[in-house]
Amino acid sequence: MPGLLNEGGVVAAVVGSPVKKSKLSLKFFQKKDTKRALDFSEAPAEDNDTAEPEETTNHDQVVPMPCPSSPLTCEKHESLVPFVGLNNLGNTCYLNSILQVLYYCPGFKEAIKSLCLLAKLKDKQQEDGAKNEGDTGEDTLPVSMELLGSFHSIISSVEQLQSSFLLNPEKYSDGELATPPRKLLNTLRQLNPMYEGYLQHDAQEVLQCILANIQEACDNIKKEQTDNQKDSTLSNGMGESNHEDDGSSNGQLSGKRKSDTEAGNSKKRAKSQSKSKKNEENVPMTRSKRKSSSGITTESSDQRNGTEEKEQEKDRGSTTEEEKNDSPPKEEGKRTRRGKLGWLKPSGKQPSIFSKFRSMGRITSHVGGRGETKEKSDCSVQEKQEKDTSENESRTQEVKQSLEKNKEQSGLDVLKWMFQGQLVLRTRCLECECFTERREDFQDISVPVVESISVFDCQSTLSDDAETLKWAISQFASVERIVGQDKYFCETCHHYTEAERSLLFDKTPEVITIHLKCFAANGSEMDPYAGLSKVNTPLQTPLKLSLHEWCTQPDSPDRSHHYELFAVVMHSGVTISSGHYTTCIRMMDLHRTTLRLQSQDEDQDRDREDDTKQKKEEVPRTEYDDGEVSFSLPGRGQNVARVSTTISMSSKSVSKRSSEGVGLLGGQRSITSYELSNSNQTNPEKVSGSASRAAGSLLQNTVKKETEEEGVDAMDDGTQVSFDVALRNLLDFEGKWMLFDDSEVRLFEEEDFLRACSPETCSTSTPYLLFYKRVSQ
Amino acid sequence: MQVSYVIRDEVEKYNRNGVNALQLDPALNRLFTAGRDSIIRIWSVNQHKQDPYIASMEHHTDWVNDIVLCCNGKTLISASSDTTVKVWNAHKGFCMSTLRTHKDYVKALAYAKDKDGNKDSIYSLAMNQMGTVIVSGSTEKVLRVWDPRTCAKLMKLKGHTDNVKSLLLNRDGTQCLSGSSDGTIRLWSLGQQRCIATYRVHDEGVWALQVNEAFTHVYSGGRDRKIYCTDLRSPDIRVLICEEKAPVLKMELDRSADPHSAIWVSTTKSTVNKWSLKGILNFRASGDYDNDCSAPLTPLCTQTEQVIKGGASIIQCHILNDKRHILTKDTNNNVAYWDVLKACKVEDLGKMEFDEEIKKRFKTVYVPNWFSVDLKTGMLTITLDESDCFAAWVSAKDAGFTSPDGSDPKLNLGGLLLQALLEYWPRTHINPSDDETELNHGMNGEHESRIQKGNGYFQVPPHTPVIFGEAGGRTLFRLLCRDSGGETESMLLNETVPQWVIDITVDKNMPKFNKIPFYLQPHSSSGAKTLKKDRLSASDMLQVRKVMEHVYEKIINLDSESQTGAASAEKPSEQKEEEDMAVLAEEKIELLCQDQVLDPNMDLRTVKHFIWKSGGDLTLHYRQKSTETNAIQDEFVSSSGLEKFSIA
Repeated sequence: MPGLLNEGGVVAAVVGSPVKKSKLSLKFFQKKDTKRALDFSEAPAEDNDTAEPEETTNHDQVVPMPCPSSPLTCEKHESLVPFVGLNNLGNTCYLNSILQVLYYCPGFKEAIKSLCLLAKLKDKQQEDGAKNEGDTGEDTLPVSMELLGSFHSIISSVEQLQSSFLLNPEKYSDGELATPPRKLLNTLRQLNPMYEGYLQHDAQEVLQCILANIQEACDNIKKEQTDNQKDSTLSNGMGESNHEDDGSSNGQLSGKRKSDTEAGNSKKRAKSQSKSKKNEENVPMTRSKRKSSSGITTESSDQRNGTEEKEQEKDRGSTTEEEKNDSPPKEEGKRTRRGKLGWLKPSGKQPSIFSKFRSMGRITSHVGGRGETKEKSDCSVQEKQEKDTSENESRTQEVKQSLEKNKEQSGLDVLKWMFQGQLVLRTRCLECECFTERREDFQDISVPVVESISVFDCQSTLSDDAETLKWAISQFASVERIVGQDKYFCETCHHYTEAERSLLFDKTPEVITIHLKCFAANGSEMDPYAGLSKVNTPLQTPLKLSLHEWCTQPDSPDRSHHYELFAVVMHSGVTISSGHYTTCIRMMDLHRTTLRLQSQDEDQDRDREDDTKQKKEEVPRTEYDDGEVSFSLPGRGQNVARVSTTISMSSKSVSKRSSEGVGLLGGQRSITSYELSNSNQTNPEKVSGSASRAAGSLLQNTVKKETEEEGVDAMDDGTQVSFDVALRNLLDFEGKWMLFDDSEVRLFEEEDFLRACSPETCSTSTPYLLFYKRVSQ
Repeated sequence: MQVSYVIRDEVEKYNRNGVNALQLDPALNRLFTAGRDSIIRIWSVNQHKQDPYIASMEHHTDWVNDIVLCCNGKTLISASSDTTVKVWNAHKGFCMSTLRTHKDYVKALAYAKDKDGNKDSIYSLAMNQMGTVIVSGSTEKVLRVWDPRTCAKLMKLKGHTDNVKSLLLNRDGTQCLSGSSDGTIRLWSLGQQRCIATYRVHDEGVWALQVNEAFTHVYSGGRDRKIYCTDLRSPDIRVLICEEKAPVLKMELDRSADPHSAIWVSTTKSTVNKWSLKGILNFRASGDYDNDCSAPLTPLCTQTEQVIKGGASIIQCHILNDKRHILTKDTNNNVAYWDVLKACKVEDLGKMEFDEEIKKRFKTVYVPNWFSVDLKTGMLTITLDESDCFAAWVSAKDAGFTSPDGSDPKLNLGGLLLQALLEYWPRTHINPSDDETELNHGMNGEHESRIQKGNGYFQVPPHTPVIFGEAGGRTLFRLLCRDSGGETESMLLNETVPQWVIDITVDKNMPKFNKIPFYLQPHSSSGAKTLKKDRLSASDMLQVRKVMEHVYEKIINLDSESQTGAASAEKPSEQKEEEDMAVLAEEKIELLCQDQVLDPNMDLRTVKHFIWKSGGDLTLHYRQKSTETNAIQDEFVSSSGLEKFSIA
């Protein structure tokens, strides 16, 4: 499948087998156009190169891996890592770190894209197609929708940068690979005035804010769709065939929905494995592919046309998003989709996901204000269990359905699916041993880093247990006894009895976000944080995590409770009031993205391509610097140290927070871009304006070189860069940890990474948010 | 401090609720049951199979969690959720002493010292017969072993994964059996300080264990309602003895014969069963063991050998709107109708739809809450708390009481009840002489001033247990209503009765009426303009009729006579009552709230609660009656008219 990733592959497919071509192209068309400001002169050539492998692939079958026949062009890569950074716009590293995580969060990009498509469609209808901006019509839309749009645009620009870098590394030999998330920042400020100015903020809050608003946007879209659907019930009723088509398209839109037919999976896997290391997690993606591919076969001829058009566009080079939107095929697709979505969509409306901290004892979790939290009490456990099992079954069924039918998973619920799990609060009477349960949704779990506030003073005495994440989670999920004066009234016993209350995971999300509460009470200081200070002793952060022991349901192939770390937001700084955020992300889907390309879903393929490209692009980005970065470069060996040194204290101001939302503030970028004007090319604005230049610091170069060398035999073969090669270069980073430090991206050896995350290191840079994604077994 | 009382029969011959513990006195063939209905009962088990009840030992006020018979059956010790441990003369059934050292539920009998800073609640205890070892099981999931002679901790035994609810020790204290909520039975060697074997015979938690003297066969029961006999040496050999109808709380072996001939089993239901074990011999002899643990076993016994029938426990109750009567449903689905004020059952309604009956007895009348109901013992326990005890006033007529002088005074339900509960307490008696001479005249005055005892309207059954306890539920003092005249009880009452009860029962200080503010305005349809908006205030139980009289007298009449339209803000409740005026008023005008015509019999709090419904001050409108509205009014009256209670 990797071969598919390349656009070139698509083209090739066109040449080789028209059918395939059309499908692929269609997908590309819809999604990609927006993002690519690539120079396509080179693209066709690459396409040709990759074409061969693609031809072999059937829609249903797994596409064989492309043979890296074409020589690699590595020149450009030498200086930069093919990943894109984000410029610091003035203490915005809290935002940048989160954006990077989301960008690399499996499935998230695709979800945003599909949501954007839906949103755009909506705009069109509303405005009679007067304006289709790449961003969802900002004027008319609620801010949340705007956020969606600006998120989309940042994704696009990142992808563009990455692919252009990959395809034409020389361009960036000088500069850096980074883009400023200006638009997103502006939207964020509209959403919450708190983000005005250049203060530092808590990354976790930003994450919540973003996700909550995207969810809100989803809900908006959903609402509209249902409305529309009502209008168009008749048309929908006409034929299921239509629906199916729509469904397929939806699935594509949604991107990473994972449903797969087993056969498809295995095949794909085998292939992928043969080619290269593939992440288990990738499997779900392949599933989505499969479905979408099957859906594709049914697609109408106009879509093909569309795809062809797309290709043409690609050839042309730069097409603006607007054009794409306006293009008829897309619109049609959208419409059908819409109708379909409404049809498919679960009626249940869900409240905005991210609400506030809810504290249970020491435990806090973010719980959606979900109306449906149900409290049931059953006298007989057996009945209970039966219920539970039935519920579980239904739930798993739901899951399966969602997996199996991409169609049903309109992109709208992707967020919930990805980030939202469910906790069960189970209260068991110790007398009769009956229990009651209450279910609540959660988006992240906040765990303590130190044993308790009282213990803080004697941190050194903490037991070993206390330093493991497992310990922290068990603190989160620990059993509480309801005893003494405050007993529990048991409905069965008609009596106040002692009881045990435990917190278990009933449903685990695809991505578990763990928020490490790195603060402890000082008591002594009267500061705005009520005596809270940052705990700089990191927990032992495991790369793998199993929630098994806190889950109500046993591991199943469908949903295992095993997780793998894929991203960490680090906070460096001695206090909680200021510091710098960086993000470490493990590049995981590089390979899969290729696979996706091969599968012929129009949109999905595109997405995947985009992804791959993005990733490629991103890789190169590692190396750009704003002035700040450049400063820091020399010290690179030690991220932490560097960060701390580079931080310009002046720019930070401590903002007081209400006591409820304690977080780690960060955002310092050494110097804001404006201040940096003196520094050479580093000015982020410039960079962004003219597709970033790669600023190669020697150190970075060396890093890249190393990685490249390790990877596929990358030889400098003249100027011709094949997508294939580019892809391969990208794939070199598969499984590697990348450190995203605002505009600067660099390779982070796993050892170093682990060291940074372990308690032994006494640095001020500690993990703050951990992102684990589910590993299917 | 709270005052509670139990509404019950004088003699409660049957267990009203689950039975937490059993003890068998083989010498006298007596079985002691420790009931969740707070009563320890003594049963004759070998004769009188029809009516085995001998006596009750009633002093606890909450679940009796454990009992131990000691001193050759002369003494019984009981532990209760009322936080006390009591020592009883087991033969005669009276309470010899009460130990109040515990601050929380006493779940199991502790012979050793207190829990020693252990935060986990102890759910089981065992001591060997030689008195050298005590084992405790708790939510800590470990067994703690002590030497009761020195109070030294000997060891901790880890292995269970959940609460330990049952423990047994062999005679010399070398082996221990434990049953846990984790569903396992474990055999421990105290010498080796480790678990020797784990038996998984139950599907759910193991709550009760018994073992033969030789410590070779364990009988176990638990949440899964099944009772097994398991051979400790070869765990595969197990016999399903019987299946109960409810989770098994306790078992007691009939050790009069060896091998044991029967086992008594108590469950969360009130019936106690005796199951024969005779079949087990044949079972063993035949070698017909069911070695396949996975196969469902057929129980050895399907018929009980003897049954100590239990009574029904109340499992559901509904306080009716008059805040005086309660509907209850018991475990047999019988519905009953109770009078809280008189502390008695009014009527057995038999089996019927509980909810239907509640609907049927719904009245549009609002009385504030003034008591709470507790069903923990399976009987009605009514608790009065200072915070709201005096909230409810009713007119004597509405309550079905007539006062000697024919007036219709307002009665405070909580106050009346407290007076009735302490009716026999001499301090509450009103004597012609002053307090200091009360003792001297006690005997004489008691007869002479009978009328001045109690509340003058009703009495509660003399056998009613009255309980003084802390708000958290800890019992301080329990006595029967009729016993409060006794010297000891009287003294204890002096120490115990809280001031707020003294105020009403001794000092006769009646609480104040509840006032309700409201506005009275002409209805918009009458065309009259509201000149002022006076905020009136009246007792919340003022009847609408009185307001109508006020309107008629002070507003309409004045209007017609002087045309001033000025109404005084005088309190309507203070108007003197004139029959003619009332009749006239009802003929001429009507009052509305939220555009609903009000029944003259309704009182203001009812109007506010059922018709006004919203926040803010109640606003009433008045208007002259027209013919059309009559129909409406009639309809309304018929649907919401107050029912009067007949008082037995």
